[in-house]
This record gives sequence, C-alpha cells and structure tokens, in this order.
Amino acid sequence: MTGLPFAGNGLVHAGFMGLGILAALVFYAFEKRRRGLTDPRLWPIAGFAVAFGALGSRLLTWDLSREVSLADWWGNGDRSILAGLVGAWFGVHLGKRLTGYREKTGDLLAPAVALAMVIGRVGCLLTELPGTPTGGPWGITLTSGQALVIGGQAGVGLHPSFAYEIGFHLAAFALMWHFRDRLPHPGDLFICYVASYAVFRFGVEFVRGNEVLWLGMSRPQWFLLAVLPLLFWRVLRVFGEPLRPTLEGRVA
Amino acid sequence: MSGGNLPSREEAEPPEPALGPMGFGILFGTTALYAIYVGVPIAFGGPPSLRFLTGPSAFIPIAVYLVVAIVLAVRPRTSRWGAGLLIGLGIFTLLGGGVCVGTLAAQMRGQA
Repeated sequence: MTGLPFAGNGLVHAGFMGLGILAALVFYAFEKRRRGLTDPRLWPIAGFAVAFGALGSRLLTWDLSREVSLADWWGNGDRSILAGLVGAWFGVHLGKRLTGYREKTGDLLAPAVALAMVIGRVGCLLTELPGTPTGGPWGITLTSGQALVIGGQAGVGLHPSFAYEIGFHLAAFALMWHFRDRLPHPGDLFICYVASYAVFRFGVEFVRGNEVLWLGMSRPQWFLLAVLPLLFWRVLRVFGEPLRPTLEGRVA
Repeated sequence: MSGGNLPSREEAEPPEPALGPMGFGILFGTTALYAIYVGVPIAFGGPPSLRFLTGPSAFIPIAVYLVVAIVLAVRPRTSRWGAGLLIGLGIFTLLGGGVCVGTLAAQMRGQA
C-alpha cells in the first residue's frame, strides 16, 4: 500500500461513518425481526445507544489537565471509539431504565456495532494517521504533503493499524453470526465481543501511533487496563458456568 | 441467550409498526440541527454576528433537543418519533455537526 489520497478529508471520514451507522441500523432491524422481537421499546433503546455513543465519543475524552474548555474540546478535542462505546453502553442502560425494558439487548447490538466498526474504520484508514513505522511491505507510505496534513512521518512504511482493526471486526462479526444462537446466556455474545475487542485494541495501540501517556502506553491502553479485569471476570462467567452442572454432578 | 428469545412459530406476533415515524424523526432531527447550527449562522452572516448562539449558549439547543427526544422516546405513543430524533442527534454529532457546535461555542471566548 502506498500513499493516503484522502489524508485529513473529513467528508470521506464522515461518509464512511454515516454508512457504518446506516448498516448497523439495517442489521439491527434485520436481527430484531429474525429473533422475533417486536417490542416497540427496542428502537428507542437503539436511539439512546446512537445518541449517547456519539456524545460520549466527544465528551468522555475531555482532558481537564489540558485546561481546554468543554466548548473547545467539543469542536477540536480528541474523538474516541472507546469513549463512544462507553457512551453507547450508558445510553442503552439509561434507555432500558427509562422505558422499563428488562431483557438483555447486548446480543442484538453487538454484531451491529461490529458491522458499523468495519465500515466506519474504512473512513479512518483512508483519512487518518495509519500507525507507527513498520519494515513490512504492507506499510502505508505517506507523501510529504499527506504527512504534513495528518502529522506523520513521510517516506516510511507505516502500520495500517485501521486495516488490522477492520480485519478484527470482520472476523468478530463472522464469529458472532456463527455463534449467535449458541451461547448459553443472553448477553454472552456482547461480553465476548467487547472483551476480545478490548484485548485486541490494547495490542494494536502499540502500532497505532497515539500519544504515549505513561510507561510507553497510550491513554486508551490505560483505560483498557482498568476495565480488562472486569471484562475478564465476565468472560469467565460466560465460559465457566456450563462446567458447573458437570462438576456438581460428579460430586453428587 | 438469543435462542431463548425466539418465540414459537405458532405464536401470533403483532405486526411491527411501519418505519415511517422513526425515519421521519431522523430526517426531521438532523435537518433541524443542521438548520440551527449551520443554516442560522449563515443566515445571520457568520458566527460573529450571532450573540444568542455563541459561547456556552451554543449547547442549549442541543440540550433541549436531547431532553425532548428522550421524553418522546420514553412515551409509548411517540417512542418511534423519539427514537428517530435520538438517532438524528447521533448522526448530526458524528457527521460534522459537532464541529459547528464547537465553533459557535468557542466564538464568544474568541471575541473576548
């Protein structure tokens, strides 16, 4: 891969993000119908997820230590998919609380989120700083003009970290599609997806080229380090519970 | 698990309401927000000549919109409208609209 012809092009980035949201909503509608879920509260819950995900991606990255006002941050601050996911998670819970919906919705939302990420990340791949230098032939080499726009190194192959992420979400979507009716409890699909993304994202951050905060790790990595134990505990519950009846049976 | 959510085929399922109100809500919501944050500044000759929509007050329309959308989404009769408005807010925020709000919000500080 050479060059990044759409470097810094906000229109291309927004276009793919819009397509990602559209695909996610269409898939959500399809999956809702396939599962025979006709509760009218499910669309408002999806609405809460989209709205609070979008707001979260802008607001939850607000860094008070930089002494930037919220207004400035809203317009020019960092954006984050991780913050967006946290915002969407909060939105879903708020929506469920306000509408009185008690069932789990994660399994319905997780494949839709993965699909949105596959498409949305294409926009990132085409427009943003790809990653850190790599000696591999698959690196993206920026021209001096492109490097100036997105603040990278020119003439050096850079890790296409967003392509790695697209590959991850594509694989996650395929796996979730395969196992969508096979996991033991409601919500398991979502837990597995979020936990595996957290692990993957922690790793890919090493070649993403984000600002290093402390001890060689970026802000997203420190956030992930904080939430990974909780996710790991939840995953253990997903895969641990089917063993219990067998063990109990043996003891008895 | 999802399999548990699948109803038996024999159960009569109520027909799902048409997408109309929600689609209209998305269209109306995004149009209204772009009109406020892009159309109004253009109509008034740019952000510097707008006193009511700059500084922290730039967030007022979006906050009011969010509250209205939530109220509509929670009420059963208007839930699809509300869902559409919420999705519209998300689309507006993600697709460049956030930049407009930020520009207006930063305007008064820049003038001071």
